[in-house]
Amino acid sequence: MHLSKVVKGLGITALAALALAGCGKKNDSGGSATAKNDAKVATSGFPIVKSKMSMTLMAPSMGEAEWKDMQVLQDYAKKTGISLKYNTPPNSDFGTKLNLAFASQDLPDIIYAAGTANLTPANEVTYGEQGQLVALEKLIPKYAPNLNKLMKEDPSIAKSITTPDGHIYSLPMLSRGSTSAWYIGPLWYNGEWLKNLGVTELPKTADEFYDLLKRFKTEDPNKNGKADEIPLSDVKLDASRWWLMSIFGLLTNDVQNNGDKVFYTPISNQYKEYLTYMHKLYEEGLLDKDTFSQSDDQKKAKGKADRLGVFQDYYSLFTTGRSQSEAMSDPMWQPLTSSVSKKAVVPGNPRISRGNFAITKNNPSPAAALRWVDYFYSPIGAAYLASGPEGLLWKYETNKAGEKVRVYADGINSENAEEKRSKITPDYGLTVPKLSGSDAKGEAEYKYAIRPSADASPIDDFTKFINSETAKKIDPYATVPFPLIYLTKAEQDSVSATANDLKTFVTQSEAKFITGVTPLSDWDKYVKTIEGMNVKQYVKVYQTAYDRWKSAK
Amino acid sequence: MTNTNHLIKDTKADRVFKVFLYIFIFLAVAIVVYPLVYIISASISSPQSVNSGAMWFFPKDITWEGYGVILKYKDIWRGYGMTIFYTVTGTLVSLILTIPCAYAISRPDFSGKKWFTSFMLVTMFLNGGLIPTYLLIRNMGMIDTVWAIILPGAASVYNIVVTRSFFQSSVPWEMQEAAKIDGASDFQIFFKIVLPLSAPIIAVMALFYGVGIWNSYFSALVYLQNKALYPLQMVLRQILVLQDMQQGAATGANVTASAAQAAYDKATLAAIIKYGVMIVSSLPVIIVYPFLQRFFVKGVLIGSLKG
Repeated sequence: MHLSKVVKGLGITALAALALAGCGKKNDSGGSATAKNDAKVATSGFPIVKSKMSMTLMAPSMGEAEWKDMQVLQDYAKKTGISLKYNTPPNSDFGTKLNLAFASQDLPDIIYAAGTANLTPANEVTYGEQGQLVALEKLIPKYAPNLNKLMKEDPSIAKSITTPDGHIYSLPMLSRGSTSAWYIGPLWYNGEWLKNLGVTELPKTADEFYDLLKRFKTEDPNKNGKADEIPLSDVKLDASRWWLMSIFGLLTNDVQNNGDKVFYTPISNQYKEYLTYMHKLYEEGLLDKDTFSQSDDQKKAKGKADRLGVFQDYYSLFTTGRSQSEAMSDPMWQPLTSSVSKKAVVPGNPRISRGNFAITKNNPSPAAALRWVDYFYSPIGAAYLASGPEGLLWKYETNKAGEKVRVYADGINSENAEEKRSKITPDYGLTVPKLSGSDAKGEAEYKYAIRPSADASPIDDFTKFINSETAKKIDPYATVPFPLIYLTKAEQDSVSATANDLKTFVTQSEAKFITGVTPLSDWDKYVKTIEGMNVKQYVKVYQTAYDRWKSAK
Repeated sequence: MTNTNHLIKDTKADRVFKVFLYIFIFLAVAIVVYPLVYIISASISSPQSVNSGAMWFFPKDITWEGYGVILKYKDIWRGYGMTIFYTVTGTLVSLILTIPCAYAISRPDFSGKKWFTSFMLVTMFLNGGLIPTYLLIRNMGMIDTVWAIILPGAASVYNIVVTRSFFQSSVPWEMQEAAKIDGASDFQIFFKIVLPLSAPIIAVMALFYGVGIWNSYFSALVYLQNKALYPLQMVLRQILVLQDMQQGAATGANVTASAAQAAYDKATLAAIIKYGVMIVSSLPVIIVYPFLQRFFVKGVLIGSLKG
């Protein structure tokens, strides 16, 4: 709405500006798909190019520092021989700027850390077909050896980043760290409350969970003499829905594959069970009455006041405001079973975050750009990107066992390390193209970890706690709800409108059913409405896409 | 409505009417004042008491931490400086374009005025759209310069029309003819006769343009890359909008611990300074407004008479 106003404003100004066109200098930088310099690119080692090469890179900025001042990038430019010019709009507005760049053909050479929120799978397909993005699959074996190795080890990577026309237009972040299976931040129990109630074993079924919430509500677990406890809270269920639906065997409120059969979960019987259960929680005051109206700040304020029993956050301390050592007494939520889901299951992350590195047709040497990013797909390169070369954040010391280990550099400690990191590397707060968390065993993750002192453990107690909770309560149950697929242009056209309508209708109805605005007796009407929204065609398209994904090599 | 009160006693109906009048005025004032007081109170209360709803009118758990952080936040002050520069320069440029242009098309003896006016009016209804405008600005070499903020919006047709109407209605043409007969040139008429009579409209236009530039962020968003050039609104947007993005539901992207920590730190910072920056950023406009207000009402009214 306000955009159209602005556009109008711009239009008015456009004519005013016309008057000045005479004094403007013609500056046509884009559009020059020059001769490729790929032949001069070394296939291994540094520098990547002998004679200096310059490229432009567009990426979202966290606003901590100018990218040209980041020491890791400066050092890497020296190492590779590729110097970059940065265009880094604020993260909040990156999508607008990227769309503008495509629409105006004012493209950078490299699009970095955009993510699927900005460089959507649909964009990849569209811009790829138009030739605005360079297809990378032929270049990868030769110029991206590290990535190529990972793709060979895990065939699902290639399947998930190849568009239906058989090309790879963007590279992902690959997550292999100990928490990489997290679909979203987990649910946490308030450990203090459990202790006060003498609960030693966490609920394992929906009914036990209900009973515990009931006790939270009635037995004054925060010991303040007031019945101000909120057993379960969230902001619009956006974050905790995924865990709560899993009690009933559902992993998403969209399409999900049961074996090779794709089905739409919000009209399934299990989903009705989920709504019934949540409605019961809401009715009895076990689910926060403010769930559908409060802001994240308000939820956190309740957490800090020790009023929440179960809540979702990346770490429990982000909601409770407690210290890491206190947070270690807050156990992670244990996946539950129910009458419709006898085997506990939770949604799992595909561990591939797409759309994070793309090369445009303007790039003077796609091969060099590919080699530039490939280093970060090796454990040592990823560590280099995260914490830079020796001397900035860390230095080598030899420990008692005679190993050379990384310890904090002078003046750096665990308190200020992240702040320093935010100034020296783009790998802070962004999803960047790299191998995150090294191999599946997590061994190399710690090989390059920075320790407080040479003989200290490479990971602190809090990280150990998180890792062990994850290994116990998420890893054994995590299942990817639906593989990462691409739709063809025609498929997109046939479902994009439906997808939006369905999403809106389903989330709205969810809130109405749970709060009781719509009685559950209206379930059949709800299913009919969804069926009337052409959900059959929607599922069919996703089934086709799934089959295509499945049969791809 | 003054002396009559002493002479004639209010009837019952009058009194009832008055009571309602006061009730409605009180409600109207409350609606206007409450959000202002709330933001002022919130800016010096602890985020915890604001978010938990414990603070609803008067400050609670008073803390100056927010303002302390704002004082030390370099980006905000740099943005502040740029915004002041854009506002002052932009307003000046706009006035220099608007006032003479409006005067020219207000003169009855200017033969092309109809054609010029409609030529300008067309742009109010038809425009090039975002992308073509962007391309134009780019081809003129204004991308990433302060001119991209100042020039494209410098002359607003609406404001020109309002100003023209002011000249037509408030500066009698006969007076200008008289000056001409006394031997004044067109420039002398403009500078010595018309401008001195136009203080209200100049003040109004200065306020229109000034406030517009002060509050705008979109052209900065579209045309600027260099953060040193960002106006205040753009800086605030970064601080305040980023916190809303942290959860982002499940986009499927894998969130690393470092990213989660970064988002959390940003949100904490935003919670502390959110209300403080609202005050800091709107204070200058609030301070200037009462001084221009008397011109404001007068100028627009007069200008719109023949509009």
